Amino acid sequence: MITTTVIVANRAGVHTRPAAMLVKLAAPAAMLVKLAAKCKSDIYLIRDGFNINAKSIIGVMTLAAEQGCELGLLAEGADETEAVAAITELFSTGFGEQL
Amino acid sequence: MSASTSGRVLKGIPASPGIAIGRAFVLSSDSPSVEPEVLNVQDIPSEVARFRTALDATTIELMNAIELARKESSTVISIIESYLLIASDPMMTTSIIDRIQAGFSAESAVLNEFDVHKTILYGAKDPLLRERVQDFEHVMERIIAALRNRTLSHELAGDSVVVSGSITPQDMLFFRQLHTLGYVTEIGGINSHSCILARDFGIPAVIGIRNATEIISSGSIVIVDGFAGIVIVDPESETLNEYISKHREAAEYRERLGALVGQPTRTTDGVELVLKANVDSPDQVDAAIMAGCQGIGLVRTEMLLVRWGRYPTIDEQVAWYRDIAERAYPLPVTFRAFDVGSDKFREGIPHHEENPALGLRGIRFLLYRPDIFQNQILAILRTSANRNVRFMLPMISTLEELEHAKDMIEECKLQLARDGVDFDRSMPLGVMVETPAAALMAPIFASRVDFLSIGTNDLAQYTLATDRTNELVADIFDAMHPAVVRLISMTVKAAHAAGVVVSVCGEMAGHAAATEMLVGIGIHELSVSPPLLLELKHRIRSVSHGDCLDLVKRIEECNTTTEVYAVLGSLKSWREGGDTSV
Repeated sequence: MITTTVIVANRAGVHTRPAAMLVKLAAPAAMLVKLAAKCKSDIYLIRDGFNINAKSIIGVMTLAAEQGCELGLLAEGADETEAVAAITELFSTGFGEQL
Repeated sequence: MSASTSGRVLKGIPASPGIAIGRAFVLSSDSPSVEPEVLNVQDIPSEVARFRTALDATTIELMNAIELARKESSTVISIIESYLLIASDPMMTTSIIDRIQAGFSAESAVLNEFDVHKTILYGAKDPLLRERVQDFEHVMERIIAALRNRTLSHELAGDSVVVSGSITPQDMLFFRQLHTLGYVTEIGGINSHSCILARDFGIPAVIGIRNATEIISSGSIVIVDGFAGIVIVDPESETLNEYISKHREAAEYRERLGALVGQPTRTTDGVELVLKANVDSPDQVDAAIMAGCQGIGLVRTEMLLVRWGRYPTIDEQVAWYRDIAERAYPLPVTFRAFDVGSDKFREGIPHHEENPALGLRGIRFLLYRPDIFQNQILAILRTSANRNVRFMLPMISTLEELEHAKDMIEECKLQLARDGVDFDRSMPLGVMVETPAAALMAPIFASRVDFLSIGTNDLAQYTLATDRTNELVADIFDAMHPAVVRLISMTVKAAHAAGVVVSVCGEMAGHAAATEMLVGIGIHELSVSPPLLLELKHRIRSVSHGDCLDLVKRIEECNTTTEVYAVLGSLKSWREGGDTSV
């Protein structure tokens, strides 16, 4: 099991999917869920003591993670190292938003 | 319908420009019942199976829609993909099955499960997040429809104006295949997915007409005016004829410029510029976005003072700024601090000034009244959280003014951080270059801000010491005077050297004769009023950067305004066409 923290760097946060943005960017929440779904490990995001399954779009959306907030990231399973690395990268690059 | 029936005009919100005339096809909404239906224990396994089948059917329907979308629009793919993610959310599936196993019918289990998530989103602070409730509703409706073995009678909607409670992007995709003429809906935001698609597809739409599905009956003639945001039901023949000719004009206009909306602002030899819009109010943002701008280059915040007749409170300012920033997001919005002087707005200015243009205006006034400036900084910072906001200072002429303003912004940031209020810590800051002092000192300003923006009218007025509203000297005033052009050139070079963006947001940006010169000088961004956007893009797309560079070399040798115009004019003559009026 690996635990670490990630910082939400993009202005939109991971929760929203502003309509006008769709043309240029995939939704941050959808990007995260799609990436998590590819991993074999169980992946959780933790905020204020709440554990959210990162493979659940509904969970990720209701997490309401805005810019600047810090989230716990927990992965457990065969590919946990790769999973944590890939998700950390997604956060640090701001989900492709111009930082 | 008889010819004597007088037309009924319904007012809504313009969501996609254009005129549509056709027969209404009303989709009455049948909202599923929320009554909990309780099952017998022996029925539970078959109910779970019924839900799984419906969920599979929904998934397949969504995947088919994505396939269909591949030929149509990449926008719709990402929208439907997110529906697919919701429909295949493992947490949701498990929770719904748990509810069925507790004895609830599949319908009520689905409704209750989505209600929980909708309630959470409704409570969210961020209005963009609250809007996502619609996504849950669309998916929920599809699953319920599948449970009831029903599909929308899309086939009936061809060649008509669809009137509905709301329209999902999926519906829209099917309707598009059937050549639907226009859309009228009861609810929906102008930036909802469906409206974006309507604009992408060039289908006129008016939204926000309450009870439209009750007022309009299927088969009646309706006119959808997507420019004015009105729908006319059973129009009189005079109105109808008027709209038929408007319709033709709109089609011609769209053909001429509309094709450019999604095109890059690029010269024939591949140099790209950023085209932004100047706005004075939130509704202008929508018009600007429809015309394909890449951001709002200038919001004249002093318009708020005109509107309120006083200095609005922080909350009043935040509401207005947020409205603008949200409509534009993710595109950047540049708010310029109140640019007032005693000629524009007397309140707060202690006494009559002999020479308002050389008096307490722009940054000078803001620093003279730190209470007003501080409130505005706090309001802008609060708006910046989770949005793409930039801040710009007007009428800077000394470094002390910039440093003083930056100190105040830092203090406001500390205050907000102490109070636990969110804001964008790296909100870009820029200065207006409107005085010869600022242009001459541009290297030092460029090294201390994130962007420069040239206000060509004021720069010309101060450089030529000319009040252009004074008819005795007005003929001296011209932003094409070589002295002004040289100051613009110096500013651009300073910005390039410092690696910051430089834009022109003054009148010159939209001036037909100036486009080639500004491209040649090396301006990165042009910001003009929304109606000028497409024509400006058209001009930029028809010039070559190489020619513009040659042109600027020749302009640099000019000694008078007349010579500058002669150079610009000669350019016009060997590339025919082009309107030299403002």
